[in-house]
Amino acid sequence: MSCHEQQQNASGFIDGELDPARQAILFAHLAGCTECQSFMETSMRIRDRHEDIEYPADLDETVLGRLMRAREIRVAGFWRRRVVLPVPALAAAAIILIFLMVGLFNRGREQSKPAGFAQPTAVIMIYGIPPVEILGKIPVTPANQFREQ
Amino acid sequence: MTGHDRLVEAFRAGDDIAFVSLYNIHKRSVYLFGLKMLGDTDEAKDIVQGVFLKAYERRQQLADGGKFKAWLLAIARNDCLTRIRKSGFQTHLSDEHSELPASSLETDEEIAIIRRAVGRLAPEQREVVILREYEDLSYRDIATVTGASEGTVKSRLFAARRRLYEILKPVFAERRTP
Repeated sequence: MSCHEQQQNASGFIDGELDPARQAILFAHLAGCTECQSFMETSMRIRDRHEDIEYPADLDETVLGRLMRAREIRVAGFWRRRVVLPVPALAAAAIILIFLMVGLFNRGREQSKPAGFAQPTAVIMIYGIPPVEILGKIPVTPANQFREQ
Repeated sequence: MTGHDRLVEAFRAGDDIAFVSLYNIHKRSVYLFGLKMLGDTDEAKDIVQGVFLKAYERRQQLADGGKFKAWLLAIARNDCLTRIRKSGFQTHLSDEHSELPASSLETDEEIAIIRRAVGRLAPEQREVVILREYEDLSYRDIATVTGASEGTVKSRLFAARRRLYEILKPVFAERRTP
């Protein structure tokens, strides 16, 4: 085997990636080759000379501060986003809403009783939009009479 | 599942505290990589900021939680290579004409000489040396970071060691001489 091949093996040995059979051949070669010994020694020396690098003290604040701002922008952006719907979808949604309101209003009138009073019978929650209350009449029950006061 | 894996999972699920913990675990590695690649503390700081901001925003793109460090270093690598390209391959490390002292090397001086020698390497060789020698990544993880095959990583690492040997041989030979 040439010195080039043995130095490739030496590189693998330094990384713990050389199998035992080739390791034995490498060591036999190194015993008689000063050039490959020198290559091995230099490569090992680079590995061993680790420097202690100090992490900049101000960097934590900078990085985490930027992350906080990014997070705030993301959260704010979610609530400020504009929802764009195509006209047919908007028209369909409006028609459904009107039918729903009319149906609830008529049902409330049919079921009205003397003891009843006006208060919300349904609350339509649309994500990101304040609740829409639809007024109707429901009977007074022990569960809701306290709310009237 | 290790504690680290659980942190990564929590981060992917949107837990910001988990992300701060992961930042504290990996910040030094990312800083060291940026510093070794670019040779400048201010640029290394910019790399750290960019990497963790991108990681935070791209949490859903992390396919394998077990390779979180490799994922961070891959982002750092891309940022470093972009900076190196923009600067026309001139970094604070690549002073080709700097003199290397030939004798009486103390440990600190030797470290500085090795750092300058690493800075003379081509970026694709420099990155594998940093990932192997300083970050202690396996060939497989280096391949994940660089997007190259394990065989390519192995051959680049050998080529880098050969180049470092050529640069450092005269210096170390003098040092061995009494």
